Amino acid sequence: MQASFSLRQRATAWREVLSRPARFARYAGLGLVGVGCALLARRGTSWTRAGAAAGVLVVLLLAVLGWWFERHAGFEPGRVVRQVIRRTDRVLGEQALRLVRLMQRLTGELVTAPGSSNQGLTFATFQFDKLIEKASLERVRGAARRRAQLYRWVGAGCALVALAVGVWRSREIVEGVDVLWARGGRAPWPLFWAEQLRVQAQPPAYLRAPARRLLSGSAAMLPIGTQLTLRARPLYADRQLVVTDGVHETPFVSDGEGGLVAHYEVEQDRALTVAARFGDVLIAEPDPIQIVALADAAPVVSLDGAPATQQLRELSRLELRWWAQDDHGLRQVDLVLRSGNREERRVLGTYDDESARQRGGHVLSASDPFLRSLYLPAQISIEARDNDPVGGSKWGKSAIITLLPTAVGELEGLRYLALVRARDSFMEPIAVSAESLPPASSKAAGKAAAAELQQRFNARLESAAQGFEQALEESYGGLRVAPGLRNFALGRLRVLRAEKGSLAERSRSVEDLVLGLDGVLMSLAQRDAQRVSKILGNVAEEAMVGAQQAQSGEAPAPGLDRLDKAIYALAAGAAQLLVLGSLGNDIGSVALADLGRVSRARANSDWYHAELAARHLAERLHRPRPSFGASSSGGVEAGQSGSSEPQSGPGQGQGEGQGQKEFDELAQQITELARQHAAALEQVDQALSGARAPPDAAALREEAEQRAKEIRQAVQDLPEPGNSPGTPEAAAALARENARGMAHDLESMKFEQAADSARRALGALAEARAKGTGQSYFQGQLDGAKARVEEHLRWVQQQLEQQQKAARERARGLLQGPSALEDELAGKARDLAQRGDERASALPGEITDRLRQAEQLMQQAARELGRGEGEAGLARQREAQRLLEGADQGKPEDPDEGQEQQEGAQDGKNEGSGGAPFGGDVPAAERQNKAEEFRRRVIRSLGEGPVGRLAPAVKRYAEGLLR
Amino acid sequence: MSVRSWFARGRIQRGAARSRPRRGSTRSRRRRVWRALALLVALGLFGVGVALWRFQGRPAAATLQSLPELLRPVDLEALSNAITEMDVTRARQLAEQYQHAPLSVAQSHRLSIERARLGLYVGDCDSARATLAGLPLEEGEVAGLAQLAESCAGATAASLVVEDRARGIWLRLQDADDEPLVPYLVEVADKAREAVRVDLGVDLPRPLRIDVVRDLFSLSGVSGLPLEAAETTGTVAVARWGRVTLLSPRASRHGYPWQDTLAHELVHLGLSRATRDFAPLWLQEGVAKRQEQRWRPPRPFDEVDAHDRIAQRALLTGTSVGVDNLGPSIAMLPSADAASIAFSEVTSFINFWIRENGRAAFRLLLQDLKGLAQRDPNEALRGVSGYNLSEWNLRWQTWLRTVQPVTPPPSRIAGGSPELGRVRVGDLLLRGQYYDAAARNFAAALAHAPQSSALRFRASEADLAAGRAALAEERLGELEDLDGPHAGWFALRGRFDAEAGNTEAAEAASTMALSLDPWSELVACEGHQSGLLGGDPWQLPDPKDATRQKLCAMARARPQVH
Repeated sequence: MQASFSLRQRATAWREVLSRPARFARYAGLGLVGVGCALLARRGTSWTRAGAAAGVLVVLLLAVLGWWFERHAGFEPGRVVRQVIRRTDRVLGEQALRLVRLMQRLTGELVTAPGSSNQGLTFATFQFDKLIEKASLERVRGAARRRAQLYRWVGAGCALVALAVGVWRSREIVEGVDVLWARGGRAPWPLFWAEQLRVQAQPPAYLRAPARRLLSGSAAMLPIGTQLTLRARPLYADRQLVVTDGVHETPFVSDGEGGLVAHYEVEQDRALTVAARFGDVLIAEPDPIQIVALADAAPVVSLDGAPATQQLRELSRLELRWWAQDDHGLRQVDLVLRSGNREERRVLGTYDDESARQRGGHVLSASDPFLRSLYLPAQISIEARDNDPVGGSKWGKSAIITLLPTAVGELEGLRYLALVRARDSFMEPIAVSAESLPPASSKAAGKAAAAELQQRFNARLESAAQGFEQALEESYGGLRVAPGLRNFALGRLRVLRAEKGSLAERSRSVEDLVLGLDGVLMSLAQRDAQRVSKILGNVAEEAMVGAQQAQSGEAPAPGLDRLDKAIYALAAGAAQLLVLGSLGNDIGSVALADLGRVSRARANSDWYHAELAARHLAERLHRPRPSFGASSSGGVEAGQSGSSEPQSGPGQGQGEGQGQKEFDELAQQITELARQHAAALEQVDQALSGARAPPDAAALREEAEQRAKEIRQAVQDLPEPGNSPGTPEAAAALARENARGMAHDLESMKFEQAADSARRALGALAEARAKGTGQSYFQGQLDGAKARVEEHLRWVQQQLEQQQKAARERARGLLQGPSALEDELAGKARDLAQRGDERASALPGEITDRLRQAEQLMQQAARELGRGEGEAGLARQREAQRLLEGADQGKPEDPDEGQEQQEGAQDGKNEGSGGAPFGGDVPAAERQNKAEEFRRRVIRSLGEGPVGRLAPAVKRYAEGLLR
Repeated sequence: MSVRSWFARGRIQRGAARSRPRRGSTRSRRRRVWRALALLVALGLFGVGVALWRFQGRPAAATLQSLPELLRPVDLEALSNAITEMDVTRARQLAEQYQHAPLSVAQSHRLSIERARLGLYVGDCDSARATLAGLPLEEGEVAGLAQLAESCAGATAASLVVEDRARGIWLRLQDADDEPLVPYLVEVADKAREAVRVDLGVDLPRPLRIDVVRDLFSLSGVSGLPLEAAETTGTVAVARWGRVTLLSPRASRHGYPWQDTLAHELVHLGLSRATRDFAPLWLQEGVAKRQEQRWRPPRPFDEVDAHDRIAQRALLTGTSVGVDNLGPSIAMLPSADAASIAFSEVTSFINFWIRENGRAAFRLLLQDLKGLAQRDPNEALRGVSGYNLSEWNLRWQTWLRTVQPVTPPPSRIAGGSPELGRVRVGDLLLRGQYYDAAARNFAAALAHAPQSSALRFRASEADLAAGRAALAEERLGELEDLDGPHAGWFALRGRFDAEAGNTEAAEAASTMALSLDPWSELVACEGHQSGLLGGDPWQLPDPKDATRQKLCAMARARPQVH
């Protein structure tokens, strides 16, 4: 249905008047809504941003729709009647609308029933036009003008409000728009938030670097842990400003002076910027500070000669020279020893001064316990730790030196076999002595034959003795013969060489020597076998763990590797164990048997039984006892009592057991003598200290203080320090200071130091006097001071003499007892030296010489002490003590065995019967006593001040403590 | 058809049926039905009752297949007895049967313990360990068994097992190097088993299980004997858990009489089987000691009356241990001397008892002991012989006091002790190949102790090495000159006899030597030793017997003690 002409006319007139005001009102309203949306979005939360976005979309939609409708406005009768006629004349418009509806119905019927008459429609159209024309064009335009006026008012209002808000809160609107367009919590357009931004970078304290200032928009390389302090003045109030690196943010807080401050710690490379937070959204400033984080690098460690591979057997000592360098500072340097799963770290140095470069050296002996218990290749390296407290200390590691181990027990085996061979070489002179002389044709021929036999005996004996001495001195891959054993053997050899007699008698002596050595070697072999067995027990445990790992299923390869290596080491070690005497042979053969089980299970991929067998072997080897009891020769279960074999095994020969016992007793007595003498020395020292204490100290102190005052008064007019050196004033000032020092010493009752100060003061006064010829403005003071100082020096010397005399008198009484004791101890030393020359308990010559020298010194000391000459006596005592300690026999076992034995004792187990052929570990207690005695001496000396012969040492010690 | 019409029709049909004249037969049928129902209920109640009784209040639904077994009561005591008597086949059957039967918690626990025991009895320590792993270790018996199974599994893991099926001997060798000794072990075990059968009337199980271990540590681990006790008394074998655990002769540097020891332990097994382990200790040890030499012909130094002599001396000197004062085991006595006296006393006592009562009475005693419900054997003793133990002890001591003291052969006590120092020097000289000097040394020592078999052996050895064969044989002397057996002496004796063509004597000497120290090269190689008595080691004569050859080769490979 088409609009009639009159209706079109009126619609056109309406739109001509109203279109522009309506558009103005619409756009003003939309603008206002847009501003509202921006302000809403500025809150930054998800909901508000969604609401604002929806509002903006609605505004846009409405704008588009308005434009579209405006462009495509048609003349549909009903709509035009409602829009134009009804707004012009409401009654007329209602009537027209009714007619429109009628016309629409009629039109519809005409469509559905084309044959029907359209007469009604024609009539209705006529009526409609007539009705429309009742609303004149002027009326329509008038009504349109009234409405246009309303639109103008509304549009103006909206425009005014929008303009006002836009002017008043333009920043917020911009922020809101920025927030509205944010993606991932970051607004797209940066904005400035602060002015006068100052960034202070303070590196971590351990770097000891000064703070520096960073410029906004710059790039800076900063150590990790650097603290940044950002100070700024905010451009706008009520903004929540933060400093952010994109991941972390730190809020600005008020600095109390109208500014803001924030702190930030550098952790990694970041772009640092100031930003404002709106809800979930950040709006950053345009110029970030680019920060490059400098990590604290691990120390670089260099080990001379590394990487390298060395055979442990060929090594007697491994010198490790290293240097370590860090970019900031070093805290600690360790020597790291690794073998298999074992790791041992030894601190080579700790550095508090945190210097960045250190160098040093360390010597690793082949007899080091770690190396001696080695059965897998060892990696030796130096590791250094830096001082980084921020990211945690980092270790730098040097290249490694690989030590290929000898088989477990190989060195012990080498040593034992060498000693056994050396022992067996004594059988040759015995065999020579057993030779029967050929029937001689004459007496002379008989004598010549006997002499020849004697000569051969002597030559063989000397050769054997030299061979044995060489075997005693030899180093077996760094392993040496223990001092106790060595001294025992050397003592016996010394006596044997010095012995005179018939061939038979000397042969008998050689037999005794052989038996003695035999017993000692058996003990050595037993100890070595026990030690090696325990180490092999650890290897067996390694095999056990390897088999366990191999059962894990998922990754059996490392376990298998471990098992195979352990089996290899076990086989090699067990083979070495076999040579270590009867116990070693026994345990070694047991180990090989059990190792056969482990290997059999390994070959069958039966890890479970390999583990069980290895565990059994480990337990067995950790219990190094004979398979069948030490003394059993047969079972009691059945049969005869076993073989009638006499227990003639090594170590049970006639005489040698007694010889060992006597040597053992002698060694213990020497150690005991050294200990007793140390106690006597301590007693004398204490007596002398007690004798030095001045009597009536209160009266003396009072007088000394009085004299100190007089000295100060006497020198107070002398020139003050600060004059040019070499001038009389400088010398006089020096005299003044020395005199004041004397006064101070007097107040402290240190008369010896006071006398020294006085002498220095007099010397300086004399110098000032000599240099000051012709300059007499303080000549009088010099003379006066000199007189006073000399007077007080005389008094001090007098006091010292009196004190020394009194101390000597007191000491004479106190030292009578120690003198008698010293004399007694000297007698003991003489007896021990004599016993050291006897065959049964022979000692090396150097030991007996030391004992005799000590005895003489002790006698001198006793005489000095008896005369009351305490200091002199004490000096002799100290010399004697050093000799006595030098005569100490040392341990019969290897250096690291004592500790193992102590550990064994702690376990409450006494493994084996021959662990200590020369008795218990007496020297250890002695060492303890010495350490305690030294500690007491040092503490007392520190309390008394640095006096006496040990004063420099005490001073160095005290300085060391302070360091 | 509607429901209502259907209902009406049913009523009509029921009315028609009611009108039929068959009332009496219906009643009888109903009665039969009731009877059948009652029978079924009764059977059901009976079944429930059986199940309640069978499972001790634990009702379960039994399948028809298991009904015969369900009606059979569970007798774990029978299983335990079968294990103790080493009836492995029956024990396995019972264990299998009870394993599939539903049991109470207590029964299941007990069954697990018995299965673990069975594992130990058949030498399967792994399965015993696994069985016990599931049981709580708080219980003393379980903890003890678990510890034993653990140590046994470790000591026997991957050991070499050799079985002689024909003779029914099963050997497990911890040290595979002991394999050449197996034929000798089997021979001794077979003969000793036969002797036990003949003398005691007890058939030892087949296979007879023997564990040969390498040291006392393993002996303790396999047998459960405390290690300290084994070391104190020098125990070399243990018969426990249905097996003999024997220390390998190579464990001792100079060997030990392993053959008689094995026979001794087999007697223990036989007695345990015959008496269901109710034989008291004095009976066990006394009979074992009595029987240990009866499996073989007499040998030198078999002192039949030595036990009476030692017991008499102990009784008179107050060092007697006492038949009834042996403690838990002779191996756990405080010293080897005490153990030795105890062995002699119980042997003398048993000899006396059998002499007084006869062998038949002894077999009856064994049968009586088997039925004992408690450990006290006095009831059985009184029942068989009329006296209890203390009364027999008194009678034996009385007899012992009346016996004339038996003096040992003069050579056994004459002479002094060897000078050990001189012997050692001689050994070193011999090892250093100073044969003449060594021979002089030993000759001088022999003059001081001419009865010492060890010294005679050494002197002979040194002379032989020096090439003086005649003098060597002279130095060796005769059996009558010796104070005791020495493996080396018999080995050289065998060599000399063989070289003289006296094959029988050589064989006897060689066997004697073998019984003392089979792993001595001199013994295994029939009097020849590499580097000493055989000259060129590549020209050493090997034994003719193939078995002995293997033994000799292995003995030569044995590492030397330095």
